Amino acid sequence: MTTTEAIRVRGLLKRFGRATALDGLNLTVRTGEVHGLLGPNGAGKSTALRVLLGLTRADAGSVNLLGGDPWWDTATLRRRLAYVPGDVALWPGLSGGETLDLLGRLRGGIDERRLTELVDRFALDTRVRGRAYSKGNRQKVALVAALAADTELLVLDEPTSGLDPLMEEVFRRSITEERDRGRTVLLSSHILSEVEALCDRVSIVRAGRTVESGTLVDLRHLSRVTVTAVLTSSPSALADLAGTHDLEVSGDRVRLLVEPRSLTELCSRLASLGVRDLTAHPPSLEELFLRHYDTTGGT
Amino acid sequence: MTSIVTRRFGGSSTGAGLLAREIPRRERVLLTAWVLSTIGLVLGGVAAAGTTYPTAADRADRWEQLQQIPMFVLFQGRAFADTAEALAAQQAFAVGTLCAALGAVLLVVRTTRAEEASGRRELLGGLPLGRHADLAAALIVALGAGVVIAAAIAAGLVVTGAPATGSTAFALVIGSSVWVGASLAAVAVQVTTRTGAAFGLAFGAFYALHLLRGLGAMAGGEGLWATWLVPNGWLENVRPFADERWWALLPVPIWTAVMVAVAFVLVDHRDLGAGLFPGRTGASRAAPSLRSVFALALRSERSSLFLWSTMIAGCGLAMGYVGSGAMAEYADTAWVRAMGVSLGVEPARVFFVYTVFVFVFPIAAQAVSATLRPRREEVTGTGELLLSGPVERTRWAVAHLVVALACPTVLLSVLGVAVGTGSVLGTEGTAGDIIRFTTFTLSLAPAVWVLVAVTFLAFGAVPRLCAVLGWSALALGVLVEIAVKTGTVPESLFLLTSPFAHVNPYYRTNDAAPLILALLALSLIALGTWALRRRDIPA
Repeated sequence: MTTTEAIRVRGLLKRFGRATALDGLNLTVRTGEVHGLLGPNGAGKSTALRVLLGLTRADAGSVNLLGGDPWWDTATLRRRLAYVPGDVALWPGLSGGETLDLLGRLRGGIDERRLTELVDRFALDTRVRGRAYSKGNRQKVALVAALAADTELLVLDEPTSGLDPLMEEVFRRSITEERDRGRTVLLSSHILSEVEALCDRVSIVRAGRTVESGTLVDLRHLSRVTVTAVLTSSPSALADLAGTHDLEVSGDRVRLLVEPRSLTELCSRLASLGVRDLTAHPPSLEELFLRHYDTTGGT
Repeated sequence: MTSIVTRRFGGSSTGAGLLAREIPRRERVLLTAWVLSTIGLVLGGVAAAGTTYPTAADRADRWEQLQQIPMFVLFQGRAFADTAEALAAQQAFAVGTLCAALGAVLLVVRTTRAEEASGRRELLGGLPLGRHADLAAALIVALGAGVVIAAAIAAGLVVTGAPATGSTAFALVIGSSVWVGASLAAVAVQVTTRTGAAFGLAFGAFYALHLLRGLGAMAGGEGLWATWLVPNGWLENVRPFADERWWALLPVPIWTAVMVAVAFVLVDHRDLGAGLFPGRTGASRAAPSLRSVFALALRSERSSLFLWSTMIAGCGLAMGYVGSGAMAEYADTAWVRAMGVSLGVEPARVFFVYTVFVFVFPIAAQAVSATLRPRREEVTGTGELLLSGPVERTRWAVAHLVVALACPTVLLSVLGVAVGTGSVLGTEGTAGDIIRFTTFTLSLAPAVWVLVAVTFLAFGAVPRLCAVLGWSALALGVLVEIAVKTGTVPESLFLLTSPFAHVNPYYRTNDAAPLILALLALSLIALGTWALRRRDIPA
């Protein structure tokens, strides 16, 4: 492991009875990057994060987190990371402010100025008791606590699932600031636009296994381009082109997906058919996602 | 928009029948346990009275006792004749009505407020259900269960040979208490947003009404009119098996109708999920003392501990004040006489000490509940919030454990001091009683610690089963305690299975028993900690 890697996970295996949650998961998070862990519900994202936190013990595989083993070096490692669970539960009788104070003090101290600034930024009412907060507000309490803790690593499990669009924007701004301050962020999500907007690199997880990992540019390189065109003659000549998929024809309009290797061939055929209108766009993460989870075995 | 909704569903009970059909399936465990235990308690109580007071002289003694000792009237109820049936009805009145009302309150709270508080009710938000549907469905089932309970009790009493009129009257008394309990719960669930508070409010009100009835009955003579002020008093005034006054039952349906109407009006004036009073807000900053897991554990258990201390102090003071003399009549059973002979103490004294001893069981129940708190934290997810931070899991569990060990210790001290103080205030006590009783009650603590340790070991080793195992261990202790008295279980088995056996002043075999129990608890705790370090959280 080099010093530029904050997290290095290899071949992680975890079974719960007969169900396999992690089936050889690999994950590398570089120091200082925002890394997205992307996958559908039940892919094993939360289990992977719990292993990283030392809450769950893997059956096999190696985990290196900030240079230590999270299961054995729990106390020292956890001082260096902060975590926001996917479904935040708060103590029903404690107010938000009391919870923030308690969590901060357990870490050994609170930066009052920073805490106040974060509470303002997330528009959090700190007087409400845990039982009365909505899901989004419970999440804000945990987010503020994690952001206020001055740790090297932030681990966030679907952090925006309860936030409104306004707060989502505040959250994105905060994460960008944290990265600029040199913190490493690992965030799991099934919200693609969020990962697209925030993450430097992405690992796609399916059924407990990493199916792909890299920068968004890397992943797009592997993927099909969506081409829509209005032609001046019959589009039937496109049907037999290798490397194209999902051809849809309606009148003089065609829409198809094309693998990068067939792009040149497609362009020359389109030119010979005569083009009145043409759009080509890289796949959104949405389409990447669908491709991985539709073609690799179906869920 | 609102007007359309109001016109379509507003204030109606549309869909109540649909929901009511669903409740018996969803609440089958509660319904079965409640209906059977209420019927069993009443029939069993009446059957036992026949053997407890077999002769006319026994019955006359009991009658005499009921006239002399006001505590019986306050906590149980008045007797209206010295026939076997009338005395049985007196004895079964309190336990029967309380059990009937307890189940009704639980059922109504669980099917209305608990559903709203958990958010499950919102899942049904899209269905064409009237605003009154939930409460109406809960009441249909609860009031219906009251009718079933009454019919079963009447039939059961007649079959066992009791007079038909008295049996019907007593069955209606128990059935009516279901109605009173359900109607109290119907209002209580509108008032507060918290499930536990709604339950406490409704059942607390029923028990308070029972005691208000008792105060009127204790006053006697001119004061008896006070028993007509509360539903529990009406029920007592029915006088089953003693020249029944049927008309005393008449106010019950009126009371139920009024309370239910009030509840429906309250439903119309609140939002789904809200209460009558908005939830109180908390402090925006934590008190300086809230800076450790231990402080958090203590704060979580604070209100429970306060409530229990108050109740135990009240009971202890009353017991100490009344003293052993008042219990002399009760003390005249085979096992108490045997204990007295073997200890060289008069039976009344033995019985008094034993009555104090029995408090160890409810105190142990509070301790088991406190021991299960980290498990609740683990399941709900608050545990994850701490354990993902710089809190080590052993420190987290031990902080909760220390509180769980401290709770019974505090409660047993409160009990000892209260009984001693009551004794000093009463006629027969001396100042030394406070120290004497506190030493005695504190000597019981190691047995509770063993129970806490067993629960904690289960929490570490088999977390999914820890609640079941903890409560089963306590139930086993209570069961063998009763069984050994009736001779169904040999003493050796009793000593083997119950930690309480070894702190019992009669069975205690060894002066070092408390120390040995404490060491046993400590080793179980060590084992539990070891197991906890090796497992997943949450598991």
